[in-house]
Amino acid sequence: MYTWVNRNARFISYEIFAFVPLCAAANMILCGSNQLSAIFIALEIQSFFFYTGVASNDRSSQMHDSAINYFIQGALSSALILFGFAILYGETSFLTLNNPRRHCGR
Amino acid sequence: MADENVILLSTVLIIAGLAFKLGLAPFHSWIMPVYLQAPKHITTLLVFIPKLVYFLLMIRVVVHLAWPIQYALSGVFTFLGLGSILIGGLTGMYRHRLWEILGASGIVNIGFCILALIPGETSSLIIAITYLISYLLLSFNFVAFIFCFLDEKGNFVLNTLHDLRMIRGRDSDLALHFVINNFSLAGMPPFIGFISKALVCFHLFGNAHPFVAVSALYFASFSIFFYLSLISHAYFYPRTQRANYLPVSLTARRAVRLSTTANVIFILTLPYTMVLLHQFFFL
Repeated sequence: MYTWVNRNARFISYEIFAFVPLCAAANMILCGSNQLSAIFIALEIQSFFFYTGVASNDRSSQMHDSAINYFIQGALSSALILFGFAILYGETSFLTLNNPRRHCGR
Repeated sequence: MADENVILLSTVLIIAGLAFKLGLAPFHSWIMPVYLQAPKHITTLLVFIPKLVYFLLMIRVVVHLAWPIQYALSGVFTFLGLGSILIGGLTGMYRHRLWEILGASGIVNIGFCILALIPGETSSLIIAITYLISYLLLSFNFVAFIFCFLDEKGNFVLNTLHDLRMIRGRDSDLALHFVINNFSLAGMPPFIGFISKALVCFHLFGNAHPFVAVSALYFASFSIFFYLSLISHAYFYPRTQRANYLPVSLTARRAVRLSTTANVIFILTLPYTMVLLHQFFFL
């Protein structure tokens, strides 16, 4: 990977790699957290890494098309997830995945 | 007192949002242009990280909010899984660029992962994660194989199916690794891809979903078409003139050899796996 990056220096904007530790931390939070707000923020941080990464090659004009496509569809998916979280919060009044009210019904 | 139906609605909405990120069937349209046109180091991350992370998140959401799985949610999983296997196979059949074929194979395999969740037992979680890990291993092999061949300016040599024809003349060992990897992705018997697909299908058969298992296998035959075309282009065409001038990256070559070895080692564990399967499903 390192040698490949050096050989491709013309095609890579290096600012992207500043996001990599942020993306890794967001992945850990996504896998481990029970808080819905923490999950959503981690999901957005991880998505920002990929939105900027997909758009980071400014040599190809076709790539802006796919980057905008990816950004809009990712925003739609985030909206769906947030809507699900909102319904869950409105029903149980808890911002956690394993909330106690889930087991009180029936 | 939470209403179960409202919680089910929220679960389905969250699953639909995660299906966008995973690239499941009705939400798969971003996969192929993004895989093709993004910078390839980002594409490599895009193959592995979202599939692993969002599938684990989907499992946690389903287990915490809708477990044991109700009839409506198993219908959602059937629709997503069978649809992605069918549409991934059909779209991959007409593609000739390697990154698009990788995207199509990702759609197909994540569909199998979703299908493994339908019975809704603890073992189905284990089988789904086993399938996901085996798929990530095989797609790592695929990506490392493409990264093996770069020209002096650092551009990829292998872009289309037709470019695969010069591999056997340069490095027949590496071409054989690619053939083994693609047989495994297609689900041919001794390899890890077969074992994980068999686990999913036996699990569906054993828990009263035979129709889903049979249609999954039927739709997966479309994806076998493009795996076999990859194999035939890599190994069963005559040599071309350009072959001897291809550079090979040693690091990526080691990565391909390592993951193929991990793939083949599963042949040695096959008797044990069969005993495990027998104990698992028939006792």
